[in-house]
Amino acid sequence: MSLKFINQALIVGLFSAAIRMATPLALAALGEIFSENSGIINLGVEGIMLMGALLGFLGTYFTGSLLVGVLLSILIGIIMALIHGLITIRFMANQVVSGMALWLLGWGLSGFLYRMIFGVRTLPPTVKGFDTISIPLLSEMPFLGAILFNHNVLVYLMFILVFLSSIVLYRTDFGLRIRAVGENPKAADTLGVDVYRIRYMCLMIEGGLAGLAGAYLSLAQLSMFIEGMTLGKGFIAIAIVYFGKWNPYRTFSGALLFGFVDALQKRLQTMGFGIPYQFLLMLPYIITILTLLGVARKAEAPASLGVPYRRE
Amino acid sequence: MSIEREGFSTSVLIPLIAIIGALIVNSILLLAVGVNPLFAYKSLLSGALGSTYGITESLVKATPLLLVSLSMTVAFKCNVWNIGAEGQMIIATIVVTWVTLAIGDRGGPLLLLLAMLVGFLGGAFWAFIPGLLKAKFEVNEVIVTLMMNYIATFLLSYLVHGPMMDPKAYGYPLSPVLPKSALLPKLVKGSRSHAGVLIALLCALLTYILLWKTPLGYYIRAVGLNPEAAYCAGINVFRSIIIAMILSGGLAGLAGMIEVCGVHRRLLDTPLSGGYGYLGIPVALVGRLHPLGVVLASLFFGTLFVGAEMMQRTTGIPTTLVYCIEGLMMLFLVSSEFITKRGRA
Amino acid sequence: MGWRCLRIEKKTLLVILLIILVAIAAIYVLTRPKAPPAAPFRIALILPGRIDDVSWNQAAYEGIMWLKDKYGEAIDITYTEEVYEVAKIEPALRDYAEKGYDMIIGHGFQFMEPIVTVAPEYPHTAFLLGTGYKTVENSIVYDVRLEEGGYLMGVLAALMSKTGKVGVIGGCDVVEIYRGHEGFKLGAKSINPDIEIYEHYTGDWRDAEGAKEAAISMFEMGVDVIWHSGDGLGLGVVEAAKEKGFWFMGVPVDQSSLCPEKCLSCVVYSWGPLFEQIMNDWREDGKFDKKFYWASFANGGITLSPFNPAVPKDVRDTIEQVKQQIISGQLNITAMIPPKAG
Repeated sequence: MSLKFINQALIVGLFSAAIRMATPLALAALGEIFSENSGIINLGVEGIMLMGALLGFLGTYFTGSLLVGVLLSILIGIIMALIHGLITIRFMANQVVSGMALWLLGWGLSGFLYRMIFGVRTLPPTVKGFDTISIPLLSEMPFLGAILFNHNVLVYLMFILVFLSSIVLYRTDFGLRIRAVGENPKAADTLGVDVYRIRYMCLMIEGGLAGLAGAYLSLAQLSMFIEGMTLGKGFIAIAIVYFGKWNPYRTFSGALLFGFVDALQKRLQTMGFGIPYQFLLMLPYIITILTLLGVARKAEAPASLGVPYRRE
Repeated sequence: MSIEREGFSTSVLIPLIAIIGALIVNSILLLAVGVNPLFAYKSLLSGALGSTYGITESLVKATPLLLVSLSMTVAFKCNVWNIGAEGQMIIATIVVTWVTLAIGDRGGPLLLLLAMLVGFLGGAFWAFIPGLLKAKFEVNEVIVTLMMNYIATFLLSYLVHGPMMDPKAYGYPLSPVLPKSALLPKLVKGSRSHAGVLIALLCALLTYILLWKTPLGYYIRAVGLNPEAAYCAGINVFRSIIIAMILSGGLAGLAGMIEVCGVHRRLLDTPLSGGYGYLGIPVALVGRLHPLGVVLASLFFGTLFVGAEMMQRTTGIPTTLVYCIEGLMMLFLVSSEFITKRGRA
Repeated sequence: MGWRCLRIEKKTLLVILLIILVAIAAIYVLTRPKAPPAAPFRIALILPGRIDDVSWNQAAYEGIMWLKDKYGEAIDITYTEEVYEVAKIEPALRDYAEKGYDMIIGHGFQFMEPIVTVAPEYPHTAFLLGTGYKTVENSIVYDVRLEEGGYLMGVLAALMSKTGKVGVIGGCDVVEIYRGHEGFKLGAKSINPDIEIYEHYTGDWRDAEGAKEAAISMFEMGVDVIWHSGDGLGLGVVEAAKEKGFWFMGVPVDQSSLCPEKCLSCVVYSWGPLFEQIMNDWREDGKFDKKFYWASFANGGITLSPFNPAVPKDVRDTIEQVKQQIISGQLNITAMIPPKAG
């Protein structure tokens, strides 16, 4: 029907959308990288994202300030991750169950609080979300400029955080300690590393980033909160962490891949090629698996992932 | 994750106290919406256990939970993180529907057995793929199984909107109703309880026998604990992983077959799995990955979910509050482990 | 910092447990269950979604609220949300029937089989099925002729589009959504046979983000008017319209307040009067003679929200004209919808 559309505007739109859709995945996945590199798996990312989305929205709605919203979302993320930490580090309980319980709780609580505060309305309350900010000069570059430098501030933040995460994990003492704790907590402990403290700190980072990812949904992507608005993104983010082999750059490219195929699938559907839309919807997931086969074999998790540490 | 030889009192007592603790915290939320917590809990209990219908409903809910939890048990014992039970259930429902419709009532009583076999195989197949990818290419099974859940969901949607749509359904995405011979017999008149619960309990027994009384089960557990040592001891790690996944998928497939043959009797656009594929994971872990524990945990959670829905209808509290309650319950239960653990993991 | 396992004595635990159990038993015995209000007519609404989803479910919720407003004390209503999975439906139906509710509404076709199973056991309770095709003695099906609304939306879109490209976005191509989309296409083509129509299904009713991206991609292809067929995803289309500046139309409530400059008009559902009609039919006879109830322009079940000021008078007149043709039966949109390719 419409191959005549393949022109520059379409390509730019496609890649631009890919970045938009990858951002919440990337943010949440970055957080999860930190916690998993230290040995803790947190399946409750979805619940944390939802609470982050809610708190971010509430903060902005009641104060008119996007910054307040974002800070609140980070704060609630940290709190929820710390609950997970309490249960998995202090109580040494099963991380998978704790994570899933946190998911249920976050989902239920966010929906519940939203309904309590706003009641039932014909049209949902909205806020003024993040605007697109074009970076002067850079965004005027042909092609790349429009794709990379025409987004809202959280996307730019995400770029920076990917870069920072890599530096922290691989070029700082702190990062070294994190990875040591993840690989062999006992050895790290013998060398004087405070295993528990490192894990708590990683969880805090994780929670903050997951909360931020949630805020992106309710403040940048849409300008409202919808119950359950994450639609599984938290779990996809976790999968992307495995895809990226716990490395920030690879994980970021995993998020990009997923976002790209998702954006592609939408445009393909609209172009009307006659393929049943369900198959197009499958595309991101199939491509992810195929790519895994191609590039992400021998994915070795941090050795102590999922195992609570007991100091003898 | 090894099983501790815990005394009865600690295994049952501690969780009970955890449950009560969760209920107390939940009371705060209930009071916030102006509901008397005790009235709410009473309706939860009476809803789930206070009538024949309630009890049978709890069983109906517990049955797929049990099968999925058993599926998780087999997989996790081999250290294979199969979170694809949802997808495996869906594929099983598709295959069961297709085969039973194709054969129709001609199959007679054998049709039901065939359905079970086909359901098992369908789920096993869907799990075989990630199992193969893991065993041969060391591709992480977490992400593959998760992706395949989504693929299965969309496949179901496509089929039910198209090739498998009931021509008499006026364009609604429904498959034809399954032939009578393929339906699971009902256990209690006037309720939804069906023979599936017997199948599930049988599977629990079989799983126990498999994992602890057969060489294969030993290999599976050995690979789960330490693949390198198992390899050195001459165990075929590759085969163990594949078999574990096949069995795991098959059990999940049985759960799907039971749902379609016992409860729904036809396919819909909405997956019949109802989230059991994911819920089975914490249930299996709360059950300490042992068939007996899993049976108890499934019964508990089945009752809890049914009771919670009843409570919601009686008190009128928002459904989101019910999720909070269930989540808190899980949190408390998992935290209570710390009292029982003694020293080493 | 280590953690020492609490060395709680088993005996202590037992004692604690016993005390708690006794306390609970005591209070249990002392609490009185809430007596149901003695209202003559009790209605239960079971929704697959949420009452505030700005769409299919909210419309039904507002419908029974309308009834409550009108009849006040004579009616008692209750509702349950998120009964989406089929497995949860039957217990809900039985529960309300057992509790003595007079009219139980299952707002979605996944309720069909459970209603067919449960209704015969409660012959004095009325069961209402929201879209579907099977009925029993004491159940009826209600549905909405979204194709009529869609047709008018298509006409409006074609008249207002400057680029000759219009779009329609929905969740899944089921039932009334499918009919609505097809109606849209017919309406648009009736004005401009060469019009280019782009269609998108997000696959998930609540995927507002997906709908927003789909709308943006349509816009990038030159579409300047988009109609969304409702559900939470519609909000995403509104967001995209706000950002990119194309015209949008929606369902099932008036969404102009979300983005006044860009909303052309919306198809509005009014379930209240239809529920009232059903209720009165049941109460009159104690049975259902009519089995299918349709919300349409003719009975006020569907209306159009006020036009955007930017819509020129001749366009409004055309719409009004076509609407009258539909109401009078001169134009039968329902008959024009092609059956779904199976």
